[in-house]
Amino acid sequence: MTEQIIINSLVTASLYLLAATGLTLTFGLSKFPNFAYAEFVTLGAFLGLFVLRNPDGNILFALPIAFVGVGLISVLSYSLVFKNLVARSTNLIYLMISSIALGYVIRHGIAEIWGWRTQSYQQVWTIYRFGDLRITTLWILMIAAALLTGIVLHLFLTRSRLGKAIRAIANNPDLASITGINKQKIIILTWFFGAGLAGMAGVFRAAATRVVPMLGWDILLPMFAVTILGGIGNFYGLILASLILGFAENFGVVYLLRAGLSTEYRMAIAFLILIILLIFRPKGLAGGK
Amino acid sequence: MAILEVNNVVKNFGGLKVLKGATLSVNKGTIVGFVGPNGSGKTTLLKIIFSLLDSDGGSIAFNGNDITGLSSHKIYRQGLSFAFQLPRLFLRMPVLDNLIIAARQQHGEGLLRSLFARRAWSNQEEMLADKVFQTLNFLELTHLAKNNTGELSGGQRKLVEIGRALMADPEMMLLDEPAAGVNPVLGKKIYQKLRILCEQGMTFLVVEHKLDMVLDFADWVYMIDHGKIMLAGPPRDVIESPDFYTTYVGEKNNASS
Amino acid sequence: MDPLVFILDALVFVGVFMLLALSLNLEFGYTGLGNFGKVAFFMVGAYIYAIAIQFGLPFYLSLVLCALVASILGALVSLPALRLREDYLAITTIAFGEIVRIIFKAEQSIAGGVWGISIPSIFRDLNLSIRMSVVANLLLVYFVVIVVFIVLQLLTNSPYGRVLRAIREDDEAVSVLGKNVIYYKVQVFMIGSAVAGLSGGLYAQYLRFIEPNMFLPLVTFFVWIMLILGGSGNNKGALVGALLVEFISRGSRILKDYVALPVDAHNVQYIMFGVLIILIIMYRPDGLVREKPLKADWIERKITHGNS
Repeated sequence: MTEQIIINSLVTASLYLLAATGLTLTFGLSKFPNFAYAEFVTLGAFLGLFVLRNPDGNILFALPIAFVGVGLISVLSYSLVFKNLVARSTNLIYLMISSIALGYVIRHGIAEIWGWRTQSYQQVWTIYRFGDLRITTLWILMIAAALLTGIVLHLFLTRSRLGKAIRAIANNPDLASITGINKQKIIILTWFFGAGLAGMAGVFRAAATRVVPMLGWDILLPMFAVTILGGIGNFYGLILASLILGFAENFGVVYLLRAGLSTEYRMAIAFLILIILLIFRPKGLAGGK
Repeated sequence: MAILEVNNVVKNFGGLKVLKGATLSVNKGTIVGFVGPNGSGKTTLLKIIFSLLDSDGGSIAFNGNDITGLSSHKIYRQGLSFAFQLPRLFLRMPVLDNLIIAARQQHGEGLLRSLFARRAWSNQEEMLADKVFQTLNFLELTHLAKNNTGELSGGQRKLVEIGRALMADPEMMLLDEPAAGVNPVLGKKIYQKLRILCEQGMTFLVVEHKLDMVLDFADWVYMIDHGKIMLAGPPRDVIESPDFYTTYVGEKNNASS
Repeated sequence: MDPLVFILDALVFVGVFMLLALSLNLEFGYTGLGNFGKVAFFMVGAYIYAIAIQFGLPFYLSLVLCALVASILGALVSLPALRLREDYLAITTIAFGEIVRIIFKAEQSIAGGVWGISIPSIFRDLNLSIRMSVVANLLLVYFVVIVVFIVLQLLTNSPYGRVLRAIREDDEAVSVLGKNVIYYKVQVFMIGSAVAGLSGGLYAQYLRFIEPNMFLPLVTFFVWIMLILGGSGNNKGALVGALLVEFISRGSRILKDYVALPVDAHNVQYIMFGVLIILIIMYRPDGLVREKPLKADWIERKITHGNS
């Protein structure tokens, strides 16, 4: 039983890591939380339908389609909307409202194209059993994707000039202009890759549940929870935070059931951790006092 | 008699020790100049006195009361006021409102009184208006009274910032370079005004870079360097001391290297 | 449907949203506090009303209770949250709204859980026709709107309002001027929440049925659209915004019934509002009705006096 919960926790953590990597990096770079990330996840899920609505479609084809498609929409939204807003030195609250508005545009655009009815991927995942333990190929893929993202991003952020620049700007926006890094290029790359990862997370989430226009919104607050828990713009903190939240949620559900409470509160676990954290450690786990 | 006593205040920014136990005291009814090279911790200490920054050690007493770590609005109520080096004005409000808001004990600022004691506070506003116009006349800003503060030039904003600290009728003012960015004639006039107020019993702790102003108007000078008070005394003694010279020349050498 | 009833019905909703827009205007428009969980206080108002009426409390007392409980909740949320940065405040308040909704959804014993709860109308003993019943609600809602509007106008055009506007621009500078900034912010959050609670109570009274899915984060977003479109920092703007947004959204629903559109009017409506709000923020961030400086008669008098 406990082993199963650990596996489930790792799967949840992988999902949050993929979904929130872009959120935390763009939050660090562009200095506002992009609420439209919920819809980036949803869009990825729906783009996955192209491949996965057929029983013989392969998720390995769906993932790159979702990645590129969502990445492009994200870059488009940056160049059309947020670049202009930042240039007009729009205040933080209006930037957040604009990202929520963009989210509604994307969500209802999706609903207009694909409809509000619940759809699902026509895929059957092989289940491996080890005693009581159950693991599906999907879960293995999710954990592998998260691990791969972690390794690649780690190498990128520490080894490449661009990666180091991203970390530098996320920590101190003025620094970049001094060292002569092309800030626009970095921002656009981050918006592309970050949203692409969120799109992949959407495919995974949809494969594990179903495809609905609210799919992304349902995990937005856990995404914010891990972003803030890990420290904004801090990728390593995000990994740790995703694990913490993954375990808290999955073990939390067990205790909820034991306490006779509704599993609806599963969502509330993430929120509660978030709120308690914001009150006691507003700079995240890694941050100082 | 000391009105303000700063005792062994320490401040670290990350690993950087900005203040390493700064101690000074200011006597009532004097103008005390506070000088030192850039980055020596002058503004930091001023902000710590007013609780705009938390200190990492040491204590501050005003009129014998411990005010260490008290919130800014309570420190104001003890009789201190503060003027920022870079004006922090309410740019979307007219100049008049920027000044009148600084006055003490306004009836209309409480929730219930603003609703139910309208007559009381509007009478008070009229009285405060006289004071606002006196201040504006002195600062030569009367013609801009109704303008939005955002339309003002940098120097004019600086004057409004000083005016705001004056509106508070404090026992003591902390001023961070009051004459910076203001034309020299008006800068001198500001110091003359401070002198007059000082003779009426008000006390000033003034960060100032212009040594001629310090020489002309200060009663006492503290020089800070590397987070410690290095020299203290009457202006001429401090400024003519060889240590003072080395500190400033040292700074110039650093700047050119 | 009787067209007159349709319009009157829309106006009742406009009134309910006017209250929400006014309350967000006090918090954000004047004080700069980004409350992204407005719906939570609206929802609490609605549920408290439903529960109080079921307990047999008289109408006016139930309504007072809505405002009271919502404002206490506002204080509890704001005390810790107001120390946060504004982006964190936004995320915390949005999360708070969702938690409140989850609680009402999960706990059937409070008010029916997902099944919702019915509320008897206060006008049921009068045996009114449908038309007259809507009119009665209309009068009730607008009575509250007018009272709230007047109180907020007086409040925001006083030295109190001046402090709020100053906090919006630079709260540290305000504390240097001797004002207890946290105290003001909590008060504003309490008043704003009380008004949202009142609005929720009136909403429940008019609809006579509420369930958790009526209180999605979408409601909060709509209130923001109303405020930004109408003009934040101006109470009249909040009223105009509520009227416009509610009528545009009604209009598009009617259109759906009478015109065969190749697209889903519901989706188009949200896409349109999303684009609209982005365009307003980009090109006319002040909204339709711009903020006015404080009304101070003495300024005029002093200036003419000074010149003579």
